[in-house]
Amino acid sequence: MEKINEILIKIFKISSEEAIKNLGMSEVAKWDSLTHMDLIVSIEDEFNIQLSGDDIAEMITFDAIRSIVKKYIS
Amino acid sequence: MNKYFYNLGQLFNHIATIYKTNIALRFLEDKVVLYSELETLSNKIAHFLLAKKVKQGDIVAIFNEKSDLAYAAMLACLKIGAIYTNLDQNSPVERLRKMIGLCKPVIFFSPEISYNLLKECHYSSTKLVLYTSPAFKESLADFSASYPQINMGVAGNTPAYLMFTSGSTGFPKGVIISHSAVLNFIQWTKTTYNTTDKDVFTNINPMHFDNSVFDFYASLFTGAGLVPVPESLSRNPRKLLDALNHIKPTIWFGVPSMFVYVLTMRALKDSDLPDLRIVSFGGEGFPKNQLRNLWIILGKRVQFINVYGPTECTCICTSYVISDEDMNIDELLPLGPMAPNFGFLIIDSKGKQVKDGEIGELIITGPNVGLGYYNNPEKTKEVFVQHLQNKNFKEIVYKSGDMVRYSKLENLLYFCGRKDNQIKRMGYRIELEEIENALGSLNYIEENGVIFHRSENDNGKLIACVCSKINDENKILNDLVKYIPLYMIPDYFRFYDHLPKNQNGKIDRLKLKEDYLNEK
Repeated sequence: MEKINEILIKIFKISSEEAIKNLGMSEVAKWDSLTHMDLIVSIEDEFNIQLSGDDIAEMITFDAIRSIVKKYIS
Repeated sequence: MNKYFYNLGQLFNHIATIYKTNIALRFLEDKVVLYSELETLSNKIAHFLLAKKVKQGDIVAIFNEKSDLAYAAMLACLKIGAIYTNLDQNSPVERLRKMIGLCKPVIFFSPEISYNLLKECHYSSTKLVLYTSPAFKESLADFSASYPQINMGVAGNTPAYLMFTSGSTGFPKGVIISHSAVLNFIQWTKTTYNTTDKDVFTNINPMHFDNSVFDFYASLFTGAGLVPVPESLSRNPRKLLDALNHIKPTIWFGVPSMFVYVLTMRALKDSDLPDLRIVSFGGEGFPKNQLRNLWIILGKRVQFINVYGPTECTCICTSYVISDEDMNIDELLPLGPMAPNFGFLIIDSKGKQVKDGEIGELIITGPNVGLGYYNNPEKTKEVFVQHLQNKNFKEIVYKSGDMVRYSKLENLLYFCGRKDNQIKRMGYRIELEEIENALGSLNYIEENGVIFHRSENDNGKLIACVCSKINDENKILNDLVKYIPLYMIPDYFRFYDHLPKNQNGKIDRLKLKEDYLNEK
């Protein structure tokens, strides 16, 4: 999950302390549709996976992102 | 329709009379507002404005969160000849202050939630109308529901709305568009989209954004329905589509970035939006491989229309119906032929008309050309100019700054780039100088240059090249959001000791871009 935190830090320009919290879309200043798209593309590239539309729709908090990605790589 | 409608208030009144039992607004949460109800509500707000001594030509600002009252406030302004302007309540305080300072609204309709924001902007609380408050809604009961007679005096050349767009000096510019320009635009949309009163338009575009001009006028001035979509929902496209599936819109107009977003999120299914008959997009080029993906999902049953037009010329000037053949070509789509009742010239840097097929700046002529920039004669003089070939009488045309070529054989215009540093991101027009000005206002930034790079599969990246006393990206970002909206915030920062200069001593953007691409 370290890699996910790195992606969150890079895309949302947040600190490593913030990345381990469970922040939601409305709590992260830079989380808009542009960065959301970057997030999905970065995760798919990093883990070599293809997320489903329904899973992407649920990825609106850091915890949800972590648990959905875990489902794909385990 | 044999009546003489010379302003938008009259046309809406006529439409609301014919289609009084039609649904004007279909909210996602099942609430509907009929044309007769919207007519009554807008008449009441018109009388409220008159009681507040609002006169023809006064500016009324709206933080428009797409409620029935917000749309009715726009209509009320049109009826009494006041100029409405929809402002973005997510804009940073500094930017809002500039816009308010420029247009000096005599009334500001705001949701209660933005009260403090307007206080921060030092906007006078006596002119503030908290239109979402129960008190305001109750107060409307005291006002007449009759059509305001003052409307007779609203001539076609009266300004209808003011739309802000990015300005290279760091100050947003307010484009002024007249009633007659919009009346012409409505006629054009009706013919081009074959609109009937059975149509249902989406209103995903934010109201402070130029594309919303299409949503609002193409629907509510033809008897069709409009579906207001809150901004928060457009961030989650699957949920957005689930909500829209329930309402079954027939026409969806958006920026290509929105469609790319929906596709990248894998949100669109073959079975979505069964009644959709037209998808239309404009505001920026649609990356071809993404367009093909959209075509695969919807192309067999939905007509695709690509449109082009600057805010200064009432939203849309050209349209192009896309066919299967366009999918075999890698280049961007043509802009289309110029709309009927419009004209154009393509000129070189010396102002001479170029030969057929040659690239030059597009000059737009005709009734959709705006009235200029509000309270900004210098900028108006630069681009709203006398027709270069007309020496006999006054004819104002708009210099678009867009470089195009025209194929006479096909009767098509093709976009070839910009004359200046204006870019499009998520369909938003951005003058790179506006970002540079915001960076320059931070006292620790010594010099800066902003560049934009877009590859085939993304919405483009803004790169700020800065020479700064503090090389801390997060600090700069935190300071910058006070001045410019999120869509203007750079994606990357590159720190320099000195920025490269060209022969004229100006910051060399080409070199900055070269540096960025080499490192990438």
